[in-house]
Amino acid sequence: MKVWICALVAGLALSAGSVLASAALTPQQIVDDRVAGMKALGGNLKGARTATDAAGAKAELAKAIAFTETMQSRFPKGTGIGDAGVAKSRALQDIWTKPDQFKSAIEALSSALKAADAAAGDQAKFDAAFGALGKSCKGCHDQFRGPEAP
Amino acid sequence: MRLLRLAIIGALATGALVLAWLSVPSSSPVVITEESSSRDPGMAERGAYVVRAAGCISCHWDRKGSGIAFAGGRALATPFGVFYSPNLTPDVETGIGGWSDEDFVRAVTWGEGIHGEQLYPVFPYTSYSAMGVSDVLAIKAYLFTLKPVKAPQLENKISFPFSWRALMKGWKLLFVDSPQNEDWPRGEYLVRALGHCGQCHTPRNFFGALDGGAHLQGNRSGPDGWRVPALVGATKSNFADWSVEEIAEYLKSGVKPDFDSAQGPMAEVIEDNTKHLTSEDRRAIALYLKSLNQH
Repeated sequence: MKVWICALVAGLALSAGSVLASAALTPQQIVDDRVAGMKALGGNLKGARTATDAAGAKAELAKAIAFTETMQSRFPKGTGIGDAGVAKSRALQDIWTKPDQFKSAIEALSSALKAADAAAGDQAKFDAAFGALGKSCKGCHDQFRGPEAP
Repeated sequence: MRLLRLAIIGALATGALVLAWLSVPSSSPVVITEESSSRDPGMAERGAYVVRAAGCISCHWDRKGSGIAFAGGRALATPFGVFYSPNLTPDVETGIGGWSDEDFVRAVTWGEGIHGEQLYPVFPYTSYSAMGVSDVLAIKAYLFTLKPVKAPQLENKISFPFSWRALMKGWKLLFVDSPQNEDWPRGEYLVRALGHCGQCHTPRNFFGALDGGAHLQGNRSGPDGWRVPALVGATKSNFADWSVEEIAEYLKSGVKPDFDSAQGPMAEVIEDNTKHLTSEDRRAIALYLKSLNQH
């Protein structure tokens, strides 16, 4: 009996927590916010790539790394293609049916960013790091992003 | 009354003449002017590269259906119906094993099949017509080094009247210039002849012919339903802002300047073709595309 109550309380607390976390935003708003974040991430990466010195590159990469740390939380279940309340998204359901692969895709991005950060200042290494970084973007897009709506 | 009868007879006669003309198999005279043959040494090796530049494999390979490369069978959905690509391996019965150099050049640059039948312009001979004969024969030489695969042609699913192949003869008369080997700079040659970029990136008119006045200005109804972005006069995408280096990088890695990645048919083009080109050729393409945006 006690166990049951505990489980019930825990369950309520969990769902209350997830409701609270997303209470302010509708699924489509989460998607839109995520898309804006991805665009900003692209801007940071371009900024880092074209920065004139290592400090400039590192400043942009720091923003990208900070964003990437929030990546997983930007993909709550129910915010993909075909989900209720989502009119426009390119997030494939594979994100939620293959959570381990999605997690490693994010980790690949994270480590590629850190490698680029470490390489800033050494042009050859920096170029190579950006090659790998581009691959991590593409790797995740190829696997977890659907086609653009016509 | 008599006049009306004459008019009807005249119309019928004209119609019959047109029908007769359409039904006559075509065999345009192919002049292999250069001292080249697909059997020349080095041709197959050269062809292995030209095949990448010309993007043959992307259509002639049913990748999703686990088909064999160059054995065809890939479905391509167009506004006119679904086309299945033919087998390019040197199997005599179902491929091009029995084709002569002349047959091959005629198909690639004139759009005429081995029996004189009209090929549908889904096969981009309207671009390949500007290919040099030696490049065409190099492709043939390479294809003949492949293992022959028995893969019969799948039947296209096209609606009438387009299902009537002979009609293409009239279409060609209206919309296609006879093959001409243009003396283009390398980048333009790669984009317009080999790469046939315009086949997807240039809008088409009501009859499915490329709108020559809107070269590379984007196409709302591209292959398999994809919307194809404009490479010239781009307003919606920011392609016009891409630098030469960024375009070349995109053709190599599929990564855009904003770190988005190529998708759909363009991802295939990069994966199968442009990433295998030399960096000089990718740069030549980028320079040409850039030049189109500087007016």
